[in-house]
Amino acid sequence: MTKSNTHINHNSYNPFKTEEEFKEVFEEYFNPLVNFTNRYINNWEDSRSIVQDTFMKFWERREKIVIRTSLKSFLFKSTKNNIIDFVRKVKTDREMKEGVLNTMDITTTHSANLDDESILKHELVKAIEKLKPRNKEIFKLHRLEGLTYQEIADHLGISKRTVEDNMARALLKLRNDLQGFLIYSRAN
Amino acid sequence: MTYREMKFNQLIKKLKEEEENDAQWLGEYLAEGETIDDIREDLQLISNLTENLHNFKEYDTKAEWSAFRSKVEQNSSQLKEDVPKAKVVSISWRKYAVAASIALFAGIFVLNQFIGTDDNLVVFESGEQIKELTLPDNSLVELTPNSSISYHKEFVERNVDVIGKMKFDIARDEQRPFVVRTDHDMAIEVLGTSFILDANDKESIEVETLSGEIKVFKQSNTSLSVSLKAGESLSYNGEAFDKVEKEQIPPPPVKIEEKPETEQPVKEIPPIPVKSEEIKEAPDSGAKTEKVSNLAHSLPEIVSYMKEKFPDSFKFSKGFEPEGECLLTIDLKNATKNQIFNLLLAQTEFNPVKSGDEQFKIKKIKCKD
Repeated sequence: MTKSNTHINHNSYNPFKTEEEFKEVFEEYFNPLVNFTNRYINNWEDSRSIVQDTFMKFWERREKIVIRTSLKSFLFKSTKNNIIDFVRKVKTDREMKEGVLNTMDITTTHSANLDDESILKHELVKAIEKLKPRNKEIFKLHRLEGLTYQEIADHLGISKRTVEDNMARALLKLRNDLQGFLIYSRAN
Repeated sequence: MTYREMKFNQLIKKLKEEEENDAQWLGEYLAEGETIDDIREDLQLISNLTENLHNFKEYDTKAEWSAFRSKVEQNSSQLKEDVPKAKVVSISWRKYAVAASIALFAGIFVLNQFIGTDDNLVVFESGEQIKELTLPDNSLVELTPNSSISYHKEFVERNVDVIGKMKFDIARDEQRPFVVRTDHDMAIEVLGTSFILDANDKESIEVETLSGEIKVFKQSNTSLSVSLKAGESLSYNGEAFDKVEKEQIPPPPVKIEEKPETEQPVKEIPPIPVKSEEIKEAPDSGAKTEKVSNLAHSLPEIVSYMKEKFPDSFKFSKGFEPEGECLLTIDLKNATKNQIFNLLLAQTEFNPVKSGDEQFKIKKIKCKD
């Protein structure tokens, strides 16, 4: 279960009390936040750097941080502020500056969707990695490489029916692993 | 219906057909009372997500975490470069503590670096950097370069052995006194307070209490002890304790080498105004020189001076502590490191205490002004 779910009902708390806790949050949210950031600035290296900086700010204040909302919204909101700072400071090109900042304004009300989407995708990638090797291989060939069942069957020297079986099992396993997130996502 | 949707429907149909034959494995994935139709929505969502996965990038979080920690270290060494070593060495040890505090104000945290554990003994060395260490009882120690501290892993008794110069912020525990032992037959016992100890390998040891009260005694004769209250300091030459009351300390002149990289003679400048190039940044700097010279020891005057001089650099807010003391918070968010450094160098007797990355607090000020 994600932090956003486990922490959502706390009134106020500090998720960064110990280095261990800090690291846990970092590892859990780093990728969703980088992907979230990249949706705005469309530059992976800058996005990575912005999220690193965001965590650096948390690190510097880690003893003082008190969160009264959910960890998820705290993290995404802080990151968003850093994106705005970044755009103001680094992107001197006026059009680009206005373009990104306008996007930020427009998406203020919708950014929750982007939060959830990036978390969900992150969990999906984790779940795919946890699939049994054969299921994973076939799932990736079909969904990520775009091969058809028949192409996969030919490629691996197995029957088309076996490919379908593997796909079905992979999908159901993913669904099972992601169930908590899917329910959360649907509710929003 | 798109080709993909068609394939998806085929998959669902197939699952339905196989449900009876292969109910065993399918059952693992279905909650009680659930049918294949129930999971269709989820599968569709996964399907949609997967289609967008090419936009999604996963970094190796372990590697990112390592990079993050390196950056934390790097920031701390950068700060060390910002405060040139020559300058730090040339100022008194009291000033050094201020320099160390600035490291904290700037929000720099140094990785704990344990260099050796001999079963029960933990040894921590600062090496060439300023390092911060949290002891098992949550007491904090800031070690200046080339200092070390050792203690028993269990930390049942709060005893540490030290070499070098460091600042202690001891977690209060009245049941377990905290004892700092030096190589010089001198030890310090405290319950919960903060102080600076300079026990380098030299003739005398110096110690200054920043808050609370500490007891300094000879290890060979514990009955010979001296108490030091906040603001008091003491030096020990191996024989006698030489206590200095707070009031007796003359405001030490600030020694700043103009070009630390060269070996020019040390030049003395008045504590305030702050470094000339910083003042030039502020408007209307010339007219205030006279006022500056009067600032010597009055905090309210310093505050009003700073407010005028750097209206955007410092934010001041007054508050009250539960004990009825007045608390002045100076927000250094927009101040340059030089401004902060010079301000602190000029007025060390206020014992600024770290209260955030870009904040420190000065307590025990009369609120009349």
